[in-house]
Amino acid sequence: MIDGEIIFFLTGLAIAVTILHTFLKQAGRDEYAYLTLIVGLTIALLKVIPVVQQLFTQVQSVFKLY
Amino acid sequence: MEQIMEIIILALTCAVAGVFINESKLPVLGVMVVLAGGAIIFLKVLPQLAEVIRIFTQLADYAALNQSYLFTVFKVLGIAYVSEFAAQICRDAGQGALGTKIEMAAKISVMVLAVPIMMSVLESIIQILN
Repeated sequence: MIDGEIIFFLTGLAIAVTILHTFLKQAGRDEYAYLTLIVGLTIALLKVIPVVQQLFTQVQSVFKLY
Repeated sequence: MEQIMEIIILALTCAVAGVFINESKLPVLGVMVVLAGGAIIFLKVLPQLAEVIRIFTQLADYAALNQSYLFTVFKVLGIAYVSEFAAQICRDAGQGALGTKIEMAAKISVMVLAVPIMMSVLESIIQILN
């Protein structure tokens, strides 16, 4: 199930970011907590954008859209 | 047959994961999971669609049909699909207005593609009348 891999990756990332965020907020470091949100977002983007790009290039080649 | 089951399982996992992630501190990941899931599902189906399109082009060759008309039909199909995909994702993310704007743009580009064909049909009709 290679394709399910990205779904579970994003879910795990969301869990990790939530835990880290709550932990840092408890420790009183709000700016670091917000920073982890942004880091989580960028990691997710780095994984999702190649998939969407592959989809659009394949659609372009199949439907001769160029 | 088993490919459709695989797609269904993937879609359900995406739905559950999306709802779960919306509860976490990064709801934007939920939209991303749905986007990635939709993209993967279509990537799985695309090879078969490419096969069908190849067969259509062969049939067009046998019937000595003009290639450009067929390619325009494929282009319209592609534009319709991609804009539908993007519009639905925008609506899922709560941006209904963006979705309708994408669809409007897609309709306009399809109309632009259809104009040459209408012109050639009109010309052939006029030739018949004369």
